[in-house]
Amino acid sequence: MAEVLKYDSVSIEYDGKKVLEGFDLSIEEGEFISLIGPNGSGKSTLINAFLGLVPLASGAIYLMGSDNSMINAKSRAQVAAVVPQTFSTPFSFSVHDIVMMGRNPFMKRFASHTEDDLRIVDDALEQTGTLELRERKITTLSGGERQRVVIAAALAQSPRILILDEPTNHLDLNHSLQIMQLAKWLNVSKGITVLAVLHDINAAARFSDRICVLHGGKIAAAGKVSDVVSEDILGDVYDIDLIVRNNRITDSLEIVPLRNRQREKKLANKRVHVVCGGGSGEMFLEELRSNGYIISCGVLNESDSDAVCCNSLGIEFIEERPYSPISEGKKEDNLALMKSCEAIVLTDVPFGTGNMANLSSIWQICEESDLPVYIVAAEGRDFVGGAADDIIDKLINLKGAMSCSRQELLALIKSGRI
Amino acid sequence: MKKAVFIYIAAVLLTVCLIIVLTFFGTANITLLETYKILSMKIFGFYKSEAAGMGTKETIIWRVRFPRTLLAFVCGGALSVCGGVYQAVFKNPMADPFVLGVSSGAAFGATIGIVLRYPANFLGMNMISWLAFLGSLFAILIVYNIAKVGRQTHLTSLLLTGTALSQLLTAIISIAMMVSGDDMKRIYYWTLGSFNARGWSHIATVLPYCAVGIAIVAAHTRELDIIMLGDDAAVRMGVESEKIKRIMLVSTAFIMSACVSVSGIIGFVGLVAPHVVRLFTGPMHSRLLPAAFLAGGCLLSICDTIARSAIAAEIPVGIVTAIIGAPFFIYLLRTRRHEVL
Repeated sequence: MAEVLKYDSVSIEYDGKKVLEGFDLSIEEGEFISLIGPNGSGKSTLINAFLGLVPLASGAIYLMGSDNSMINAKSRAQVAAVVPQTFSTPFSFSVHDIVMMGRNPFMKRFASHTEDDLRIVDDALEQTGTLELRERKITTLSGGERQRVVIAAALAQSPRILILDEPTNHLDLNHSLQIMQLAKWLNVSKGITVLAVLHDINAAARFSDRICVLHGGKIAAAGKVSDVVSEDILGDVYDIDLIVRNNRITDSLEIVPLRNRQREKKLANKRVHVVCGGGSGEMFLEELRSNGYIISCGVLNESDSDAVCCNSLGIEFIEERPYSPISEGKKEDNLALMKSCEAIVLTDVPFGTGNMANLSSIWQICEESDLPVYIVAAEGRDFVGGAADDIIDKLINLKGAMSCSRQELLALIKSGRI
Repeated sequence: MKKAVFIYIAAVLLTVCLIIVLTFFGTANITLLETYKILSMKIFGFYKSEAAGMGTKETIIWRVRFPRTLLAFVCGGALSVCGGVYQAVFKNPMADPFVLGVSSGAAFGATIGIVLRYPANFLGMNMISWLAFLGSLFAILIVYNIAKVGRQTHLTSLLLTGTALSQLLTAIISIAMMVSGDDMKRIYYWTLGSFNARGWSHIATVLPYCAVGIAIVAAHTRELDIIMLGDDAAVRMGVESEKIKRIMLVSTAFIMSACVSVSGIIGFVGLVAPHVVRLFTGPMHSRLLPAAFLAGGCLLSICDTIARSAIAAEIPVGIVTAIIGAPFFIYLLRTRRHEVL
C-alpha cells in the first residue's frame, strides 16, 4: 500500500517553546487514523504544519512521497482536503458557491467550471446530505449544516486524504455522529484516507483503524485501537481514572471516565467484602475503590456484569462458571475472603437457587462474629420462597445489620463511615 | 445563467443611455436630441448632413461634456472595483480606498509632484501620477500591515489606522500648501476632487492603467471569493492568499493612482457602489465586480453632473460624493450587526 502522508521526526516551536518533538507518523492509503490527546498536546498544530501555516523547527512532512515544503498550496489541495473545527463568514455565499470553491485547485485561470466540476460538486452535496441546501445562504445555516457544507467543499477537492480537525467540536450528539459516520463511509466506500483529530475517544475507538495519542508534544502511544485504548495509557495521558469496556452494541471499545486523579486523598484503607451480582454492585464497587477501601467480591458468575466490573477495576473476587449454581468449593473460598474483611456490603441483588449460598454465607459469618453488615433494601428480591427474606430480616433484627437505600449507602461510603 | 447575461446586457444599455442623458445636462442650451445626434455622428458617423449647424454645440458636447462624463464613469467604475477588492482582501465591508487612506497616500504623492514641478514623463504618466502611485502603495501597505492582527484584520484597527494615516498625510499636504503659495489652489482642488476641464487626453492617460489593473483583478476573481472565507480557508483550498493579496494591493494602487492623478481625491464611491451591488449579485466576484464597475461609474458620473450643473459655480465632485456617501457610511456602521451581505 502506498504511503499517503508521513511525518518524519517533526518538531515545532512557538517562541522558543517546543510544542511538538520528534513526531513520527506514517499513514497508508485507505487507513482511518485518529489523533487524540489532551488540550495543548499539539494535535491541531500538526495540521497547521501540514498546511504550511506553522514552520517546522526540524524534520519533514511527506505527501505522496514528496517533501511537503516544496509543494505549493494548489497542488497540495489537489491531494489533501482539510476540514477545520469551525467555519463562518459574514458574506452570504450560497452553499453551491462554497462547495464549488473546492474545485478551485483544479481550475485554470479564466476557465469557468466544466460539466465534470458540476457533477463532482453535486456528488459532494449528495454524499453530505446538503443537496437540498444548495441555494441557501451559508450565513443562514445551523452549525451542523455548515459543517456538512464544509465537508462537501472538502469532498469537491476529490481528495486522496481527508484531514479532519476536531470536526465535531461544536456539534450536538446527533450531528457529531452524522459527521463521524460520514467520514467512516467515505473511508470504507470511497477509499479516502482519513486523518482525524478528535476529542471524543469513544468516537476515535469506534471509527479508526489506528490511534495515535499525543501528550505534551510527544507520542504517548500509537497503534491499533485495542493497544492504545487502555486504562494505563489513557489514564496517565489525561490524568484521570477511567475504565475501558467493550461496547457490544457498537462492537468497539469505549471508555467511561470516572474522576480526575487526586494525589493527596485520605484513604479509608479498610477491607470490605461486597455481595452483589447482575450489575447491582458496579456503583458501590467504584465508589468504594475511589474512597480507598480494599475490596473483595463474590461469589460471581463469570461474565456477570459485576464480574466484568471487578476485572476492569482490578478487584479480587471469587468466580464461578457461567450460569452455574455456587459450588461448595467456591462458597468456602468466599467465606475465607469474608472473614478477612472488616465489613460486608449486601447490594439489592435478587436471590435465587443459584446464588442463595452467598446469603447463607453472610448469615454464617454473622453467627460466628459481629462483623458490621450493610444491606441495600429492596422489594421482591426473594426467588426462593421466602428463605432469602427470612435471612435478611434476621440479619437486620437479630444481628443489627443496617438496612439502607442505595443513596444512603453511597453517602456512607463517601464519608468513609463504613 | 442566460438570465444573468441578459441582465448584464440590459445594464450596459441602460448605462449608455444614462451617459447620453448626463451629457445633455449643462448650462449651454442644447437639447437631448441634439446631444444624441452629435454623439451618434461622432461615434458612428450618422447625421453627417446636420453637422454644419452645430459647430459650437458640437464642441461643447464632444470636447467638453462627453469626455468629462466618460472620465467620471471610468474613474467611478475603477474606484468601485478597487473598493470591492479591498473589501475582499480585508474581509471587511467597511474597506474602501478613501477610508483606508489610499486616496490620501495618492494625494500626498501628487502634492509632492506638484510642489516639485518635475516635468518628466514615463510610460504616458507624468511625475505627479507616478508619485501618486507610490504614495497610494505606501499607504495601503502601511495600513495593511498595521491593521493585520494575527491572521485577520480587525474592523476597528483598520478604520483607525486608515483614519490616522489620512489625517497625518492631509496635515503634511496642508503644510505643503502653505509653503508653496502659488500651487496652493491647485493642491486644494486636488484634495477635493474634480473633473473640471478634464478631456480626452485625461481619458487616454487613465484608460490603459485601469484596463491593465482591472484585467489583473478580473483574472483573480475566484481567489478573491476564497480569500473572503478567511486566510486559513484559502490555504486549504489551494490559494496562496498572501501572494494574491499583494498582487491585488499593487494592482489596485495602480488603478487608484491613475484615477487620482486626473481627478484628485474622491471618496465613498468605492464603499457605496460594491455594497449596493452585492445585495443584488451576492458576494461572488465574477458577478459582483462587473456590476460594481457599472454602478460605480454611473454613480460618479451622476455626482459629477450634479457637481457641474447644480449651482452656477462648479462644486468639487469629492464634496458631492461625500454628501451622499458619508451618511451611507454611518448607516452601514449602525446596521452592520444585522446586515446580510
